[in-house]
Amino acid sequence: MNKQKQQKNIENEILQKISDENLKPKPKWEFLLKNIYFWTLGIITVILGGLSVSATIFVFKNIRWEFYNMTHNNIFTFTIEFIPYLWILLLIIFLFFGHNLIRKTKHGYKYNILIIAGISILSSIILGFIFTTIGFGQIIDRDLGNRIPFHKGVEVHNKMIWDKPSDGLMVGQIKSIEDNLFIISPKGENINLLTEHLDDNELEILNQNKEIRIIGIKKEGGFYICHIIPDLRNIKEGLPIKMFKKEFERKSGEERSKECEDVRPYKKLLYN
Amino acid sequence: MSENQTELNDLSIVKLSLENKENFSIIINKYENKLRRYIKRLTSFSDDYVEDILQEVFIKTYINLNDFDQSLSFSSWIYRITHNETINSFRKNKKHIEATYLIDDEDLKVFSSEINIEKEFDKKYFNKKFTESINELPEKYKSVIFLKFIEGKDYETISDILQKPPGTIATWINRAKKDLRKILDKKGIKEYE
Repeated sequence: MNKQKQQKNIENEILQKISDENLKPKPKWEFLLKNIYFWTLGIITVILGGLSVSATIFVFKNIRWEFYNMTHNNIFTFTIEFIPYLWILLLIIFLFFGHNLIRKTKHGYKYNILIIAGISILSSIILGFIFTTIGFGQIIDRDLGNRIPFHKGVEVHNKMIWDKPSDGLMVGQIKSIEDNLFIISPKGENINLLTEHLDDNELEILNQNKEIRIIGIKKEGGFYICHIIPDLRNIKEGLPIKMFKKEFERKSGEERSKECEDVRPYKKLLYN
Repeated sequence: MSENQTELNDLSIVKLSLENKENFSIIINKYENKLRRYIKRLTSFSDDYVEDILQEVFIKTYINLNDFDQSLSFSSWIYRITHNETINSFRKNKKHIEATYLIDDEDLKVFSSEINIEKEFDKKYFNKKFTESINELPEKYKSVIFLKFIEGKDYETISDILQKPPGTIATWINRAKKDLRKILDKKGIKEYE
């Protein structure tokens, strides 16, 4: 009897509340819109994941593997230095959010976590390659990446590790004023280049006024050039380092000044 | 009455409730006791508080009637709302879920075979130990234990109620059983050979 009374009570209370507060069922389109909203956000995160992948591909393509032994002791430390942590972290974040958003869709809970993760990763990778061919990777890493505090795009990063005159490394744009050659460092400094031991071929490369990498010795009057490394990608895409050794380095040890012998990057260039 | 007919009726009731709110009382009458029992099994809330949750469950069900997914059973859907509302109430009140449920003979039979419990225990003693043990389980394990063994729901239905993939539910049930077995073991409720 009590049970029936309780049942009647709650039924009346609920119906009363519905009437008093004029509660109405939400329209169907509201739920449809909510579902579309989660799917759209989920797809956007996959696209953002694709952009992160394309930036990562761009970084790995532009690391300049050919110079690793001049700036680092081994390829491992070189790779660690250049791993695009930010883009990889963003990819993980986007995948995580994408997974959660798809889970929030109407039937999202039914999908296996591995299937959602697998499809998201695969879609991001495929999109990443497509975006790379369009050139988005470069736009993100160069134009966006360099604006992020405490982050450098791969090209800037690469220049920074070559902008160390005291370690025998220099990079920059060549500028000639009258008979003197200067290099404009990434920091904007003009450094006089000491070219007395360069042959005609090397001088010709310098006079092209293009961006260049130099191995040498920091001296009082400027930077003494032991070896110049033109941006090979302007000459031939993917030319391996051994080929430019033959092409640009003087073969006879006697012709070259002994001064360069102890410069670490130069030694690597000669004997590796 | 077959399951299909029951579901067809539920669908018809939903349609009728959308046409006229008075018809919603059919849903209330049909599910009230089941849901009250489910909330009570899952919680240590007072009867008044359980009634408040129940009222909120039916109000939410009514407001969201158009969201009822016809690929599910109405029962799964309303259990889902109940489960979420109960869990949310706990979180709002910053309380832990503490089951106060005392098993009956029928449930004891189910547990005896599912987790190999010796049958010669005193029921009162076992109830106390069982309630203590179940309260030591994580929230998700506690829910699947109740849904599977007490409410008698299948994996697919539990998956629809808790909104987790069926594979996850199967894993949770296995782990819940193992964990419950270990806890009961520590409390002296041994497994029969």
